[in-house]
Amino acid sequence: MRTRAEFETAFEALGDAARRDVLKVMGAALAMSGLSACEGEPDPRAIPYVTAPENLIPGKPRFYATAVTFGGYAQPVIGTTYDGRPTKLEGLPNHPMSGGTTDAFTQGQVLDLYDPARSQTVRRDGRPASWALFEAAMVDNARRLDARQGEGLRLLTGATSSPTFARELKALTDRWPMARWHVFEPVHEDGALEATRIAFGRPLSMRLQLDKAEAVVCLDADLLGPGPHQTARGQAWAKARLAFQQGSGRSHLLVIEPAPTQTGVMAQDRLAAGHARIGQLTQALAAACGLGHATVALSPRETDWIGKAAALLQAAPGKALVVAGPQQPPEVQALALQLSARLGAIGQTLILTEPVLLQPPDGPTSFAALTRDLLAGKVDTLAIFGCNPVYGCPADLAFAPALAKARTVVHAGLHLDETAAFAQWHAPLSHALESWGDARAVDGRPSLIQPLVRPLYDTRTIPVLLEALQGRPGAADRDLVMQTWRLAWGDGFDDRWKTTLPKGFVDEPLPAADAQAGALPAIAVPPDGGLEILFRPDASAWDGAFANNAWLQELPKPFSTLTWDNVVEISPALAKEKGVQNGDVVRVTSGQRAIEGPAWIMAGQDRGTVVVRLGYGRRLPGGLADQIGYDAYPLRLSSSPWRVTGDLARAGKRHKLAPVQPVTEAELADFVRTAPADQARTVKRAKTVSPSFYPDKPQAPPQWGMSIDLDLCIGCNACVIACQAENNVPSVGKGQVLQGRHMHWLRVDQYREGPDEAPDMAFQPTPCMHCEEAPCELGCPVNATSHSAEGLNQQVYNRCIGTRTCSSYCPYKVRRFNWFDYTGKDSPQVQAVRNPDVTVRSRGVMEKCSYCLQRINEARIKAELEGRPIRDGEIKTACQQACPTQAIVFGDVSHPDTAVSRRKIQARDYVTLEEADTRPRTSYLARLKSEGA
Amino acid sequence: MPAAAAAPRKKPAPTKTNFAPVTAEVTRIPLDFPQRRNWWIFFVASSALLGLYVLSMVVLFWNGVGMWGVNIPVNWAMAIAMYIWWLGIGHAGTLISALLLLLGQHWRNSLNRFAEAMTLFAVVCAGMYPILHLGRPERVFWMAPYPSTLGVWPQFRSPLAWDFFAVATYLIVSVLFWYIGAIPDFAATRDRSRTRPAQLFYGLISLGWRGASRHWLRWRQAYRLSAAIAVPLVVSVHSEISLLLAAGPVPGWNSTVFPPYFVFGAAFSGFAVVAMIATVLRRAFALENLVTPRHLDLLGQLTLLTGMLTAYGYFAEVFSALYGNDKADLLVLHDRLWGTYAWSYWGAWFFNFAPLQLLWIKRFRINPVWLFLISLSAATGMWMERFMLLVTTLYRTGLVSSFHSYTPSVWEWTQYIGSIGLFMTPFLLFVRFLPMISAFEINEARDEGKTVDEA
Amino acid sequence: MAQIFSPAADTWLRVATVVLAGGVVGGTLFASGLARSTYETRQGWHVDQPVPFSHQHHVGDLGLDCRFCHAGVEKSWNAGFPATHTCMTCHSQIWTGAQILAPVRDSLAKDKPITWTRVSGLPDYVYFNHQIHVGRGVPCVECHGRIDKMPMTYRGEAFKMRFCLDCHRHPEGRLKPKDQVTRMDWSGWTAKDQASFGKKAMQAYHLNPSRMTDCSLCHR
Repeated sequence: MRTRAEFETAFEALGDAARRDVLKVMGAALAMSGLSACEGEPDPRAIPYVTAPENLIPGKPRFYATAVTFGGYAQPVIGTTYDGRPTKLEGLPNHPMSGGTTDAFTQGQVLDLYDPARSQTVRRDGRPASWALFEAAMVDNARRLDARQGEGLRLLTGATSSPTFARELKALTDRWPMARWHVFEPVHEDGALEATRIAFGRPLSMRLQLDKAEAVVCLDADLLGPGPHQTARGQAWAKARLAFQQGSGRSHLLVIEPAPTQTGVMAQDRLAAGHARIGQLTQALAAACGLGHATVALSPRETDWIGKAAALLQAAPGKALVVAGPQQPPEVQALALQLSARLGAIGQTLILTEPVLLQPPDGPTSFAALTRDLLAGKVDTLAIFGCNPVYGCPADLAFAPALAKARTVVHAGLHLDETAAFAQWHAPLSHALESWGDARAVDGRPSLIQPLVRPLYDTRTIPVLLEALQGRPGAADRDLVMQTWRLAWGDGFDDRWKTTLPKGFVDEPLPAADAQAGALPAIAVPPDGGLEILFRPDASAWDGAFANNAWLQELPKPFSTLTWDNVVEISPALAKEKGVQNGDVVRVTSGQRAIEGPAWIMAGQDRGTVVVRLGYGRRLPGGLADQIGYDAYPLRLSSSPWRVTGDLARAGKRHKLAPVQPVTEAELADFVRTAPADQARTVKRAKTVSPSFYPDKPQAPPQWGMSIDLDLCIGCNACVIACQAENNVPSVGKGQVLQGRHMHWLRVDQYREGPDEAPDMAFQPTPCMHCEEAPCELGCPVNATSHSAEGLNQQVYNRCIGTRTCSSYCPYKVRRFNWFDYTGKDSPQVQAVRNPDVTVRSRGVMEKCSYCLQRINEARIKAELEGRPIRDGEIKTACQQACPTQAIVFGDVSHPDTAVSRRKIQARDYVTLEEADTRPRTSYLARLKSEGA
Repeated sequence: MPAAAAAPRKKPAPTKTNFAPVTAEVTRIPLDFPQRRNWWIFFVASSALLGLYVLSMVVLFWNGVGMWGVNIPVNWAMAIAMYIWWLGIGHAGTLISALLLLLGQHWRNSLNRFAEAMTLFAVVCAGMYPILHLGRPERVFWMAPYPSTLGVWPQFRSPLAWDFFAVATYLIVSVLFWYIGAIPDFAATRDRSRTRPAQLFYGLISLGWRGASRHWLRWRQAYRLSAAIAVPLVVSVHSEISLLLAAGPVPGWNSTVFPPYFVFGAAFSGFAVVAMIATVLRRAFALENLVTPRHLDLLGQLTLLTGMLTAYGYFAEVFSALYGNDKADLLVLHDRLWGTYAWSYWGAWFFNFAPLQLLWIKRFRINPVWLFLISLSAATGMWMERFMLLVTTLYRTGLVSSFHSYTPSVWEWTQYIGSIGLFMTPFLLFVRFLPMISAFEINEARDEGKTVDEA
Repeated sequence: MAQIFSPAADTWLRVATVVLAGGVVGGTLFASGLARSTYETRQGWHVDQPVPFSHQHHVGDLGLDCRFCHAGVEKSWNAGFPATHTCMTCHSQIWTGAQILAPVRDSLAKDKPITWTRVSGLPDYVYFNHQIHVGRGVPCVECHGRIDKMPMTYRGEAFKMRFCLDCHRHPEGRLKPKDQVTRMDWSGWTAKDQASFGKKAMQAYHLNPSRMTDCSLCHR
């Protein structure tokens, strides 16, 4: 076991209290972990400060409100730092968009900060150079550009909403009017903006008010699925669902989608249909609601679905919402928008605002235009900041070759990635957690980004680089951000800055824009070109930006539970037709373009639909993601980025895939129950406790317990990563996952039942059940696992000798074993992300969910010193804190008036494997039927 | 049974007064070893296996138990299966020598010495596994109750804690019983040995035995006493081992039939292995007149009996699953019969019981070759049963989400194959250097006027 | 046939047996004795420090309060070591030239921390918390011994799990008035005082030993 002493002592050594240079002492820390064997002899060294910083208490964490960015949007967070090391991100509690919750990507970003494969030095033509050289070169370049009004200067970035970037950009274009800004974002929302332009005359951002919506119809729109909007939408949807549970208001969710999504799982009626077909069905639905007319021939099932949807929508005027996904053709989305408008959604369930993301001059065609100009030799200097176009470039745009035509290509990124290889200059970029900046959340509220730690390496932020580009080297990122807000706030700046920084965000959402629906768009039916091949971001790697994150890579993907790979998802029917098994490598062709990847049979997928996942097949030397999975971009077209047609055939090879859960078919009723809606409001009969040979455990308060509402769980996996970050859970790699040795303390089980075409699917988070009559405790010969007076099932790593009896006896198999030394060889960076309040487990010991014991102990000590009992809600487990829908509630079950007790008395409360009679403290709330509510 | 009915004998029955032939015949083997060449071949082979065992052990301890194929849920597999298997084999030795001694069954005298030796080495093989499979083997002593500076004790509700006592006790008692029983013959060998080193060696291990009547008196007390301790151990130890599985709330394990079921199985495999050894030894060292067809006959009968009892255990398991009609139990039964590892289940049925039925016929019982083959099949069958019990139960239990299959790794196999070396090597040394049959007990019996068959 | 052994052989054998048995018993006793010896626990063995700091002088003679240097003790699990600055608050005035204080001075000058050697370290899997112990009136002396009598600092108690458990099983015998946690000399404090105060404290803090021996209090 190691860390605590090592790091505490090591990091005490650092100068400045708030943010200190981690790597300076990392060496020492590593040396020490070498010194202290796994048995955890105390580290003999004690290294105090030279000058103790203001109000720093050694060993106590500090918290900073800040934000990380995802797809250009801010994800507001509170950063936990121990002696200068950021170790954990939590949602920003008062932020209306997240309500203090996070998604899996946000949880994972703290690991990205420490990614050992990050770029650390300036490079020129691939060889290490220095900032001085770089800045000198930029000064010369700026002089040249001055002469020509900046003609030939092109700036290429990812999507961004940063006010500071906007200001910098303006400054730059004022000085160099001929310069031009382009955007490259593989998973973009251009379609949605285009749709609003068609429907309302100008591009607008849609802010869905799911908390106000009682009837929602999703047309290929994965509202609750992964992405920058997941936290906000999950939280809002849960509000509506809770209201429905309490009997106020209804909650209807109907979905048509080509492939299963989390939204589809939560739907009361899910219909699988092809991407193109959905356009026609949208027309039919609109017609059924009296908007336009459709001449589409419908199958009985479709008729039934449309009829039901139309009825439910019209029964909820002002509370209805129809959404077509950003991957649908803009016309279809526009039609959905106008249908929503007709149903009185505008201003109620749908608020339209000016675009949250900054819009480049060429709009959706921005990147295509740049490539064109490159080929035309119009580009002199190309600055590529914070995006990776060489990797994500659509097949019809020969971007990489075109780069050769530019005089100077400057690339700045977190990694020495595919694009860096084509640039004369590469500059290492700072991670959001180590830099100053700003960005807008999905609701438009600006967040201030402040560093939790001094940059690990000598890196810069994009605004600073923009300054350098203009020949003004050495700007400080902090000053640039302050400058932005000084202009925005004027005189009141100093006070507002002081108050806003700790708060983390400016509470000014974008105002609603008035929008009048125009004429109905005509919806073209695309010609049938064989199979529909759909491009979707990956739930772990997204567009490739998170590919190098071990936590995310080992995060089981929805439905397939696969790790460390992306797959070609096909329907069971197609699999039978083509004779394809899971893991067979298939060749997906569209026109002249083709890719090869392992197939996965996805129950519930539309027959003619093939889903390929972006974000893999990276060429990232030295990185985890290097060469894993297949690259889907070579099949993509800038003209139709989300759907191409083509064919699929077996390639005759096989590829080993590593699903965390090999079997997903099950009788749902055994594990995930469904109850009539009123059971959320009725109290259950006092259950008779079956007799036990052992005396009942004393129930003196507090007695900890957990309740998980399966009616709210959207299977987003945020809890899994939150748990991993909080409890130093190691990632073990594909090989070990294949052997059934993944280490997640909390897993989200996935089940499906019924016909392959339309299975009933469900998610079930499964932590340790903390049984009152725990078999593991009976089994352990050395008392390494035992029962605490507060009802916790304790695991003492340093006492464990690894007989594994506990796991053999555990009916839930939630215990995890350190088959090898999974932690000893971690790089110093990765060691720095560890939570010092949790022992790092060494080889040969069992570990498992502890209900976040460290948080319980912290709260207990606090309460005892204040001479009061622990308040309800004072302790939040990591999973509970992250959960966007607040499906997880933890607390004292011995007190009748705690949130958890109020849940456990509901009639729909139940425990899994009741026949094992271990009296679990973790119980579930059954899913509710929406019909007739 | 009448001597006449017994198979023809090479020598005429020695007269009462003349003990020399038997003792001589037994002691000549260590003193003037007949089969040197073959012995060396076997010894080198088994030492090689022992080397493999040590190598596997080093690899295991260096890298961790992850070198095996075990995972969650199948986190016990071959190691525990082999532990139970070896320990079971051991039990027959104790049964034959101790139980039959107390019952005054003199025919045991021809078998007990090497049967006990077999027990010892089998228990050693078994006892190693619980240590090998630990995550932190260097901490195994935490299972022992001793006043530590931690101020904590083992967890006495745990079957494993009792495992520790059971095996330790069993090993100690077996050693004592075997050693005490051999002292008079050690002395006899000492007196017949001609070389000084031999004299010293046998002299030392015979602890100054001079055959004085006081010696015999004390000796008899000690011998019968240790026998009386050993017999109940057979039952208690293997019942305890069965609790290792039966104590958990695991469908397919959590069953009251397990203790007797395990003890029968143990005795079954044990007798089978004794029979194998007996047939081989009598052939190799021309002991046909000491290990007579009647001995084979009786061994055959015992094997048959315990085999059928084991069969009953199998039947009872299936029956209680069907009769109880519990969903989880039925799932386990289904997985055993038709699941990934069905081969181990049907293999167990086949190897344990199909050939066994031949033993109803005396001709097969007294025929060493047949007896050997049938016993070999039984040992194989029990191996499969132990494997089946562990793996088919664990790989699909509880929540569907935690189902996961298991494949033994190379290092699990080498560890097992090596353990045969760990058994054979000391056994060969025993055969080479110690009197492998209890000469004096045979004489004693014959002194009481019995034939070698009865004696 | 010639005798193989001398008549004394039996006796020798017996002697050997006894010696062997004695060896086993003796070895066990020695091992368990060693595990409890101060050699193993380091109790009372002082360690060399970069600066020969004398608690006897600073605490005993000058009467400095423990919390002056170990400031974290009431706010955190970590009592903390004094920053060089803390030392210099006085030593910029007195003993400014003293040779033994040279390391302290150039620590400040070079802004390089002094590397002390821990005397009372615990394994990394033990999560001891000073805050709650001090807050419950467990005096420093209970675990750290008579610091005020240590010219060179050494470990006052054997930090074995048993030592922690003894107190967690019977806190009443250790608790003292909160305002006197730093008091070193309790010779005036009779067993009767302890008994009555211990009882009161147990009630006041609702201490329940059966809850104070949960593994999870210290191991997580």
